[in-house]
Amino acid sequence: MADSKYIQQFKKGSFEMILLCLIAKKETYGYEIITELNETGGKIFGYAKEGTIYPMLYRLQDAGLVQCRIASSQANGGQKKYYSITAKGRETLCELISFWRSYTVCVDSFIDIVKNLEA
Amino acid sequence: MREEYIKKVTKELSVSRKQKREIIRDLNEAFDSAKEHGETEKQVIDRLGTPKDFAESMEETIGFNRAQYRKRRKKLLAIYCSCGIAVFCMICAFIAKHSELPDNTIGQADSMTQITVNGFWSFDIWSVLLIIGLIFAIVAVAFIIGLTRKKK
Repeated sequence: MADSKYIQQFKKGSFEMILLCLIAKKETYGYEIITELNETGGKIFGYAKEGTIYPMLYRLQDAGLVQCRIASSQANGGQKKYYSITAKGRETLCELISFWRSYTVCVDSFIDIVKNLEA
Repeated sequence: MREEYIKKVTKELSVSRKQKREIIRDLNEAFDSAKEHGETEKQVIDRLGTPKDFAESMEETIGFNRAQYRKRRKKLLAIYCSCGIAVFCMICAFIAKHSELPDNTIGQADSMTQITVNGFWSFDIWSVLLIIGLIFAIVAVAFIIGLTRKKK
């Protein structure tokens, strides 16, 4: 059920906002984003992987909503790309959140109509 | 295992060189981070899927159309080929024209002779080459017009 076409579309529409939330919370990197996504929401929206998250990060970056810096990592000797939110990103996130709030209220009111009929 | 996977992804990706570099850098980071958190290379690869799947998911979400790119690349190749053939034919025509002996040159005769020299073909090879060259040049121009028009 979790993979039905309609649910896929829900996910598609909200994933970028969720990423913005995670990056707005603190500066973070790819693997950490995926781990947090899976720990908090894995059961609901399926387990995220690099193949889906990276392109979204590229898009957010191209849109100027997030920025990144590359720093060498002490833990593994390699490099890590740290993402942080930009002013524009924060503004967009606020807009998205307020839209999401009114959106869910609106959708809920439709659901309630059906629920009341059933009751 | 990891190197082989990354190599295959590099081969599969049909994106700009800059994007490719970025994706491969991120892929390396994904392996490094996973290792740091105790994941094996096999676990990461299982999650990522086949190199082709991974490459395609990156292209798709970048807003890139693989089929369109391949088609465009074929058209560009056709343009290069027809330009190349056109230039080659014209150079050959030029050489053929200039290496021809002038009319009435037979030996070092002081006066006109009665001997006429005919080539194997009754027509000039250089003019044929020139026509072929021009045809290919027209084909190339037609391709270029087609390609730039579609862009708009």
